[in-house]
Amino acid sequence: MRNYKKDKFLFGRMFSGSLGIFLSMLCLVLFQTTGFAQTKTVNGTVTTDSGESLPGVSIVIKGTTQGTTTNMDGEFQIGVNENNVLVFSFIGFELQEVPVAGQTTINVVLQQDIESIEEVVVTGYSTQSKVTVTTSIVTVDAEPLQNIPAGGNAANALIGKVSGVSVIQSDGRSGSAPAIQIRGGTTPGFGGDSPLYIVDGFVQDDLGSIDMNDVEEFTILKDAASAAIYGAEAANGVIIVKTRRGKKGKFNVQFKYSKEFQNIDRHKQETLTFEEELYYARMSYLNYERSIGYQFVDGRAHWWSAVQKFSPEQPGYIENAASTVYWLDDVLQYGGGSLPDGYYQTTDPVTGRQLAYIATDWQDKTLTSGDADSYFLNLSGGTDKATYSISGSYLDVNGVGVFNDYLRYYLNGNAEFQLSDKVKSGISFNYGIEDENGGEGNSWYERSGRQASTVRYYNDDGTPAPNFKNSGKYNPEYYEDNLLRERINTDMKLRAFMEWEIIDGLKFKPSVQLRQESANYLSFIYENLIQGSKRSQSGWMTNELNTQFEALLTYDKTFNDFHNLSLLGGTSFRNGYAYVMSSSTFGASTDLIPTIISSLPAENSTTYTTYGKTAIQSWFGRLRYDYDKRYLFNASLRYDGHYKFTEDNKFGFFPGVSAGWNIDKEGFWSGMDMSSWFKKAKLTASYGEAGKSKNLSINDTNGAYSTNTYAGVGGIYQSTLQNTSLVWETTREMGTKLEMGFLEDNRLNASIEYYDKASVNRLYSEPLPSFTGFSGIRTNIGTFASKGLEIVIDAKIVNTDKLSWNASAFYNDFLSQKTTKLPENGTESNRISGYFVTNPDDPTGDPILVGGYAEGERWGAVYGYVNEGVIQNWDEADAYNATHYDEISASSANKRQIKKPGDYAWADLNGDGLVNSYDREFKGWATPDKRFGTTNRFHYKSGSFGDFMFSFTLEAMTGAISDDWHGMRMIAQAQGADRPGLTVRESWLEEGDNNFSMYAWANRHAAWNYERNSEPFMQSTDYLALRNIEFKYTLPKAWANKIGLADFSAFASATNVGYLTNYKGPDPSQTDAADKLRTVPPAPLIMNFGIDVKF
Amino acid sequence: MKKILNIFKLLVLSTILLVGCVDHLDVDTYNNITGASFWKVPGDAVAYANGIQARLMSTLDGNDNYVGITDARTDAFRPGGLGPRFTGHIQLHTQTTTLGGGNWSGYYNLLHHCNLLFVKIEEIEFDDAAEKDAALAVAYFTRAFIYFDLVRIYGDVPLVLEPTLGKPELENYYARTSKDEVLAQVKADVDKAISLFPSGIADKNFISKPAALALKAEVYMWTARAYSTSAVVADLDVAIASIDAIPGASGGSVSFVTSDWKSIFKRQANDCPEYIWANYFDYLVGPKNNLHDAITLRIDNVPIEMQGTFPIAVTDEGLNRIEIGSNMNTIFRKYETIEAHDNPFDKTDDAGPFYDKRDLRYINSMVDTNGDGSTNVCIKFPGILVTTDNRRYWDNDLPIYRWTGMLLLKAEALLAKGQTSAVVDILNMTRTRAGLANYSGATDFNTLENELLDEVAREMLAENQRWWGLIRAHKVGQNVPRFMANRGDDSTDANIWNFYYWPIAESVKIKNDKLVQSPGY
Repeated sequence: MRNYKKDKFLFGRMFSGSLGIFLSMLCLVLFQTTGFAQTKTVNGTVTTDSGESLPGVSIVIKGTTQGTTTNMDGEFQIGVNENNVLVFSFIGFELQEVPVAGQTTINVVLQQDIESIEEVVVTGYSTQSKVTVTTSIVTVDAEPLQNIPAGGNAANALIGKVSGVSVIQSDGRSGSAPAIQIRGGTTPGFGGDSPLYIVDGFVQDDLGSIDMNDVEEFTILKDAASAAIYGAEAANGVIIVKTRRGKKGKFNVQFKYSKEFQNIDRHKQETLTFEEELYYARMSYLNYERSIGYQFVDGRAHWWSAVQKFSPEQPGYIENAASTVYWLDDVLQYGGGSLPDGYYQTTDPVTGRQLAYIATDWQDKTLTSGDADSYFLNLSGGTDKATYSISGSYLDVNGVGVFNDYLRYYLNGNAEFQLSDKVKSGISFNYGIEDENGGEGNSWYERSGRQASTVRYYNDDGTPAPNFKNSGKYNPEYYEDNLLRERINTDMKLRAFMEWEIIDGLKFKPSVQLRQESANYLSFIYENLIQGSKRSQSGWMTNELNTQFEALLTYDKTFNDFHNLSLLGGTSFRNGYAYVMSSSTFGASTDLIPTIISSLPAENSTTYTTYGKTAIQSWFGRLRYDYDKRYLFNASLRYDGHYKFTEDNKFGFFPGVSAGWNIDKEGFWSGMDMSSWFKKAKLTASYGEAGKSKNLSINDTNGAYSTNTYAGVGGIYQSTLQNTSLVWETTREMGTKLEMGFLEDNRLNASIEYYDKASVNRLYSEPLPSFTGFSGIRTNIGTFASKGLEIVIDAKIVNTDKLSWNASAFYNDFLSQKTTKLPENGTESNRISGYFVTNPDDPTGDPILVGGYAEGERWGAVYGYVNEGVIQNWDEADAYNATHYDEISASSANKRQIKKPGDYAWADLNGDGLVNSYDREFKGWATPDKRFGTTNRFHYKSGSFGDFMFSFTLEAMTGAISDDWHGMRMIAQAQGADRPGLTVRESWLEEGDNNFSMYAWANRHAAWNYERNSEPFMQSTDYLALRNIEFKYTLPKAWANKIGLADFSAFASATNVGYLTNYKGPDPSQTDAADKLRTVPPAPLIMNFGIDVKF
Repeated sequence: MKKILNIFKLLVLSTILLVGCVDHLDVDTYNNITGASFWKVPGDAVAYANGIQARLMSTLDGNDNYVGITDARTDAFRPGGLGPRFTGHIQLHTQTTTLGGGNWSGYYNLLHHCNLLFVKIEEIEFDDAAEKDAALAVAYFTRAFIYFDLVRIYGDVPLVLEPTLGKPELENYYARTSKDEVLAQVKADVDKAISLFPSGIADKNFISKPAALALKAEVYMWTARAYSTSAVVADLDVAIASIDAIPGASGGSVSFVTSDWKSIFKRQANDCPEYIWANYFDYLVGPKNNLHDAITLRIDNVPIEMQGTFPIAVTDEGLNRIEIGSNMNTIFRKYETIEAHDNPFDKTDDAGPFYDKRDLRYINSMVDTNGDGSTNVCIKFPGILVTTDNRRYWDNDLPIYRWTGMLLLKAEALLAKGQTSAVVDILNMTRTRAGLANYSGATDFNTLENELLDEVAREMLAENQRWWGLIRAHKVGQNVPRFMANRGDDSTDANIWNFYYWPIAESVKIKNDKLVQSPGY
């Protein structure tokens, strides 16, 4: 019926083409190396101008590839001819040529190369002197961050460290990636805006399983002008990661061990005492029953405060019943005359009878502590012919909470070979295996703070109780006992590159990466009391293959001493193949075989496979020019084609242009008086465009049809509307920056930067009117603009031989975040996804549309109700009820229920007699708009007693509000599993009490009197966090050498240490999920102790 | 120099290779069917019709689209305070534009699929005309069925007869079309469906000609009675003729089961002679029955002493059950059977005469969980007990059209035409099967109409006849007290539809400025 093109060879022509080039190149290079006959031997030593011997210096006979390197003592020996010239070279030193001319001993003193110690910045496909950079690029040296416990994901080390880069760890599962957003991203709200990662030159969606100890440097391309060279996927910035490379010189060994201790005690909330809890529970049970017009009936099996039978017919507790509450006299009579161990007793406030119960602190069961062991080993070194680095690590995390274990094996090796004086080549491999046991989708954490203490955890015989059959709120221990689950992820990358200097300054560099990622999963549920003998089984495997081929041509040349020109041209092709195979079944007859076997009932099994392909083709170029490093210019262009778009819209152009002026290099600068302390001034301006298509599916452009079945007959229906006119989403960004350096050695540096960016043609699911039958269609919806200010200060506050104090601080202000253009839809400001509220300027007039997105408006407004306090007596209640009906209730049966003393009075803003969704007013914003961070590093070199280092990082965010009525402080529900929150203590009981509503603990469903955004339950999430602290002690070199080590240090550090905030939920940084513990464990406090040894 | 030349050649070659592979961006898609690859062969249209049918059936399984918007709005079920009882605004008649307001996009999604099929099927060449007719018939039936529901729920609705092919222009947004025009379209569509369907019922889980006749009868009964207290006789006649045509069109697969009322209801629709069209459920292959999961008995709310009394219950199944409305007790208990009979749920077998002489439909439709007649739970569709899973699956196929329902609908038409003895004849058919004596009460219009409504309640509990029946009889107010309390008086004046119609949700209205809110909101 349909003819798919047959792919005879998976990787297609592209693969064979590029591989062919690569192999041919390799052959050519090998032929270049030819031998020469030598006639004599020359010896010598190489030293620096201060007299230190230099190991690893490359000595090459000019015009050949023959050569050697100096040994550990800087000595060398080489066979030469009389007419040879020896070329001495070493990184950071000026090249020196010495003719042999009859000498047999040649001692050389190499001079430091001032140019080469200039800071160099990675700019994407190449590097550049920092002085000439004209875009917004930040380089973060990874080494100082390596002792910060990263929880298994290297990106966590960046939290609070970089201006303009928000990193939020919302997930305490080991190995989970944090949410990273650069300059507020391009999507309203937080999340879904992760930057593009370039690891050792190749594109990745995330950092993957990389070990932080193996990272040498992060480079962050923050603005569109710098990111434009990466084009179509760089709209949210680019993070370039460089892993360790070997260096010419001696052979180094580094070993590092650290032990992490993690806890989530911050997320434990203070609770009522067991006795109090049962008191309020019984009272609320009574209140609840009355409020919905039910009679008070004890004995409901699933109501946790209900008294259970304890009788001869039902000896002991009722199996699976949630409640462990019994009448004391029943327990005594049928339980052997005495209260069994573990039982508490208290008076029932409803009947006055004595209750006996077992109490469990559920927070203790689910918000558990964790620990981790991390081992890291690196071997590196090099000669002038080759450099190498091999890193291996093993991380074993027994994480916080339940179902949170993580094991990672990591291996990374790279080697570079100088094949000839013109040709270099390198290979690298990277392999990670992750063994995860995490996130089984049960709301363990959400429940931990809300689960009633009287819910049974252990059976009387000490085994875990199954608990809450069919409600999904299982006992984690019971669940773990009955669930077998294995998940292994692998990630393998093989890379090779070659670099050939065709003529002086002109280089050609082809490279290739082959990557294979797999995820393998198996689960089996043993026969148990919850699911019976169903024995559900599933297994799946995904296998993703990605290839990236790239070729660069670069040309660097200085003309007439002052004109520096750098050209880059390149092309890249990426394609991917994703296979999934999945199977599930049930009905095994035994617990003994957890895998899906062929003898299982066929009708129970579901199997499917999927196969998806991706392809991206790019061409790019860059021109960089400066005049004497004074006037700077940079322009880049990228042309990207993407398989997701339709024929006419496949390709997009992404230009970037920037210019700069190093004012301090002008002649007049040094003539000014202030130049004695005002050392550096640089002004840059940039404009760039970068694309985004990550949130687009090929189905959005082509339309999609899905399948369904009914009564065994398969059908097809259209599931996604086609929109062939979709084009690239593009971020257009204009920026300007002033950099200044003050005092000797630029001891004080400051920069101020302003950006103005717009996400145009935003890809968005535009809501459609209902008559179309679709909720939305993916369109290029409009423009979202943001402007921001970034100020960074860097200072060497104290800088003596013994003591140094380096401080850096940043302040980010999102000056405005506005929607500027939306499609015409007939509403005011073309608002989409809005809702009606009372017009504050004309309360009795027509309601106004607010929320969602509207032209000219900041996004993320939070609207809420107006709480007028607790009704104190029946007079007040009568007066309120005479004019108000509260329509808001989860249960319609209680809608319009009259208010009683102890209830909240809610304002009727539009005076229509109804309290409903129109009676909301603006409360604040959902996302913060100001960030601050500072890192301070103190270093004391005692000399004979070694070095002491101390550092800390503070981080702050302001400008957002969030509610906490979902939280355990507030939550309460007489029916089901939620217990009264601590606010019950402060609830209204008699006239004059004015804290919380009386029924706060009882009416979650019944009258829904409190569960809404309003003053008592919404707080600012402004916070100041102590994000990291670290102590490090380094042994004096002499001592270390005595025990055969080159270097020895020990460290202790902590991350996520604490918050200063008025927010009442557990973690104010979780702005989009504040106070809502969910299925994943929250980010833990981690303490880390370790040693770092170098041989 | 030669080497350098060679390398330049390679460079040129590589550039050509890299630049030349733009066609690699046209990747094949394997996981989805796209617009470019579909609607080519007759099989596509057949599969699309199947897809429409599957989506229609899952729509009917939704809580708010079946019992939830029909029987649950009446006195047949008791709204509860919380949990999986009928607590929604729809069932309580407390809807506002922001709370429980109607969102009809699910219905319009189905309409789009029908409209798309009408357009695209013409692009395909069929060798077998019957194949095309069958696909068209499914789409016409579905469009009629959906618009009929929409008109009954909202009155005037946008009449969309074209598929959505992209983002519509603002000026092309649809306003509401008058209900008369929409009903005329419904009638035209159902007639087309009847003419296109082959005779007979191949499978009762699927739409067929008899099902289309049943729909036609319902539509004409609606236009005959709902909007006026004086019936439109011409429409009554069409309804009667449509019903009379069903057994013939069914090829003998639909008939009245004269004995053992309980035996009518089987797990599989095709085992049920009375069924015309039923929604398919199967716990093994899916779907499972959402609705009856909620409305049928759950043992955990049965007191411990009573557990074990009911053969269908399994210990501790979790959710609460939805109770039968208390008025149903009165209606079901109105008559005693002629003969005393065994009560299958009486453990002690010493129950009094009350149990022994209950209407057979009473003891087979519901269980009295408290033993005092106050708390009844539906057990009409008991599904299957799967001991290995430790639970019961409520997976009976649920009848949408059943022959007895059609007979009682015909009785309603005959009554409106004044043919009372024919009405009593039909009543006696169902009464006899339930163990009751022949009807001997008054035969004036009002008494007989009430009697007929009661009989439909007893016979068709949880089969979604009562709400529409009460509207057709203009008797919502007298039977559904909470409707009176929450929505206002049930009178026959022009205003009554302000209370029956649902508001459209604010979110629906915001997205389409041309829509006016339903009257009364």
